[in-house]
Amino acid sequence: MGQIYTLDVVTQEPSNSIRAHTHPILETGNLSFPDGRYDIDFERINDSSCTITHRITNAPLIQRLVLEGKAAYVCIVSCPESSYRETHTSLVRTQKIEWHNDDLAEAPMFTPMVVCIKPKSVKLSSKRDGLDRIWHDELVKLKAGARLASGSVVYLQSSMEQLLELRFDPSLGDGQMRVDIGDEPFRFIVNLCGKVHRFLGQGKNIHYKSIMNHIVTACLACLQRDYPEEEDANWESNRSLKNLSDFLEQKNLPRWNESNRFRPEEVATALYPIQIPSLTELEEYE
Amino acid sequence: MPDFAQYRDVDYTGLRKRLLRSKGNGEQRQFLHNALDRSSFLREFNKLGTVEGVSLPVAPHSLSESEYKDPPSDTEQRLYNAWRELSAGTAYRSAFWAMQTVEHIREEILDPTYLAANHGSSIESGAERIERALSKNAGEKTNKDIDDCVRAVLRRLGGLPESRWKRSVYVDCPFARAWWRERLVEEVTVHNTERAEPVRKLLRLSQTHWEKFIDRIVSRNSTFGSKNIRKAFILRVSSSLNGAFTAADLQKLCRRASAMQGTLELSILSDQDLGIVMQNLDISLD
Repeated sequence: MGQIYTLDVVTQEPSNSIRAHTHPILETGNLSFPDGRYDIDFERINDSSCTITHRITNAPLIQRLVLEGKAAYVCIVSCPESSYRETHTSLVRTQKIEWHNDDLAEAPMFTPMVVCIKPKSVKLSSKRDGLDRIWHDELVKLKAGARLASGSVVYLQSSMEQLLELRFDPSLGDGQMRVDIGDEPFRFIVNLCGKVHRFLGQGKNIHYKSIMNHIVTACLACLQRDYPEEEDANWESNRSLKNLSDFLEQKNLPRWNESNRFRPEEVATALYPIQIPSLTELEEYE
Repeated sequence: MPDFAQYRDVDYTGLRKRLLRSKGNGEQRQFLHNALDRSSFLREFNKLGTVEGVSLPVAPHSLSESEYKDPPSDTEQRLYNAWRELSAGTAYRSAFWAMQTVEHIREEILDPTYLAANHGSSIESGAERIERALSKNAGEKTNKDIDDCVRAVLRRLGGLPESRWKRSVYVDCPFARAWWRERLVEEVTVHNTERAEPVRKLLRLSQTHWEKFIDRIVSRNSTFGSKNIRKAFILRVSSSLNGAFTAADLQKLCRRASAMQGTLELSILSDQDLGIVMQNLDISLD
């Protein structure tokens, strides 16, 4: 069993979007449920399955509809690059989701939501249903398929480390490495000599970070070479590159094609700072 | 699902990136020279590493340049039937289709010069286009012509994701296009031959129609990624097709269908209910 990640898939932010739809929806940017929260626990089981536990709070209308059997939890697994989009429905909030990797071009995306599965007319009460008062006394007709809660898309691969594929390359000399960019799916193929490959498999320590420094510098240099600043650059259509770009932006770091600002070693050491071993560690090493 | 023989992703991606680095340079010129001679062209590709796997059969008879550029419907059906066991996870790959195309050149089903041919009913053949580009004196316009020619070859080999992203595989490589189009016909009609012909007619209206529709499916995490939604949509539109129906008209209808998905998650509906929803799709084009 893997690590469990808890993700807020609906975040409350300032908005005047309350009556954007014909019925209230718990979604980012929509204040219909002013105190409503939607988060999920995501656990990867293996490379073709996971479990998702949906958690809706302070949105009693949605919780009641699920209990009545009028609504269900849904997770959409998608990979547009290979024209894949499958809908998984569950009446209970923890659902196991499986897919076939043969159908996928890249790592899948997951979109959680709660959806009406049987038509229902409801006279809304802001207090009872956890709604903004603008919905009070409204009669809404919920069709089958109507979204009641709509979470943001969860991406499995967005950080640098998740894009690395470490490979043993017997042709490399002692201590050597070489980085290639793979396109299908997009990843950095890090070819390593045997010792380094085995060492990196042993877990993280100060030397791991030092080696990662070299690797990430090489990866970013490959990006700078292969995806330079161009007017007609189409790299933003590449989901993994777009996610990596967003990741760098979140960390206030320049993107590889910002030629006047980007230096691969500078960004790599911002992500994996060079660490000086303590005196004790140095003595142990000697 | 078996693995299918294909070029090593890194090697084929590396070849494309090298060829795209500089317009009209020596490498591009040599590549086009090689395309004028089958043996030289094959030698170029024999240098690429390959991934072992099942090899698919080649087409049973040689194809003319126009038949290759724009295969007739029965040719596409025959190709799909011979390659039916392919998985979507393989069929989205440039490296796979490039090998398929090169094998057809090796077996003299195609000539490498076909890859450079212009779209449509241009009188100039691929060979004439290459010779014209290479015969001009060096200059900015010549370099662009050479670069355009190289890009045309790469697009037909297996798509050019660098400039046209993943839709390029589905749209630009004739073999991949044939497979994906017939796969879509099969998915929609489920071997119902009465439905097959109008569906095929819709999907083959023009290259532009196909590209616009594929863009909807693979370039974004959208409605049309779900098989049941696109099936209902295609059946609705194909059964109502009469008179002129431009690519802009198709886009208009796609947008209307996407708008229906606005607050409804259509993918959870049964085929019957989806059919009813699509009957309400406004297909007037005034």
